[in-house]
Amino acid sequence: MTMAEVTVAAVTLMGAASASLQIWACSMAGINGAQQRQLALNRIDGELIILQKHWQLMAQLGPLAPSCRAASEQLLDDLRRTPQASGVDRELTLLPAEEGLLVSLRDHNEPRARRDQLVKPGALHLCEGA
Amino acid sequence: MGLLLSSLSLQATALESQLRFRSQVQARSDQDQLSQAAQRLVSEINLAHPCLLHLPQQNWAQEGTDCIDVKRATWLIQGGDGSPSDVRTLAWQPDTNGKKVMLLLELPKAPGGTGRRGLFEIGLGGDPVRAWSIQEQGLLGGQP
Repeated sequence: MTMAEVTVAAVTLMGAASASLQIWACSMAGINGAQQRQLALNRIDGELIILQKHWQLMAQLGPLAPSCRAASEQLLDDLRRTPQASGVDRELTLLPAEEGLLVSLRDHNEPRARRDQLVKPGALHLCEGA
Repeated sequence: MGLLLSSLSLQATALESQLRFRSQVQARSDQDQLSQAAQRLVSEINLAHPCLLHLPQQNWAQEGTDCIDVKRATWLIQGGDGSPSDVRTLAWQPDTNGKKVMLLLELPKAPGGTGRRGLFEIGLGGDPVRAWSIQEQGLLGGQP
């Protein structure tokens, strides 16, 4: 084997190793990102389950108000006082008429991890539709 | 060669986890739509048609149902214009002791695919009896 052949072989080997390392590093970053995204989904799912249990307990105490609009407003006030999980952003929208309350949960670092829960007091017997 | 192969394997794993994440995000979006439809339907029944609480869905649109006429019952089942949502009510099945109802809803079908379905357990209680909890039991079926 000539010196030139040895040099070409060495350069080719180095190039392949370098490219492989770069792919390896990118892939590891991707896998770490996937773990973070999964944690974000779990965080907002957990927050939603806590809120659903909270509303379930409220419902067992009886209606909040005769009017469903008034009950939605009370739910809104209640949620503003309820602590929220760290890393989760909560947006509350009181919908027009008696359409209820829209509770949007977003992960602070991964906005694609989101849940949008509609709460209609009438569905949980928190109002009587008067 | 070994380094290259292991790198490509890791790359495949990373791509697979991205696809899985997208699918999980879509599933949550579908679940939210179905859950919103469940809230609208149960609210309508609680407030305007409580006689349906203990009546299986297949009997809703029959003549002689106390608190709802046939046209409105059909409208509640099939979804569409002006109804609580464009989600179809496939099943409303009360249990034998009157404490729970299993509710099955279906999103509009995607072209060439099946509509995703959501199963819910509705808790009943109080006097007079009304629905007072809606629990998601999971998604069934899927996208094309």
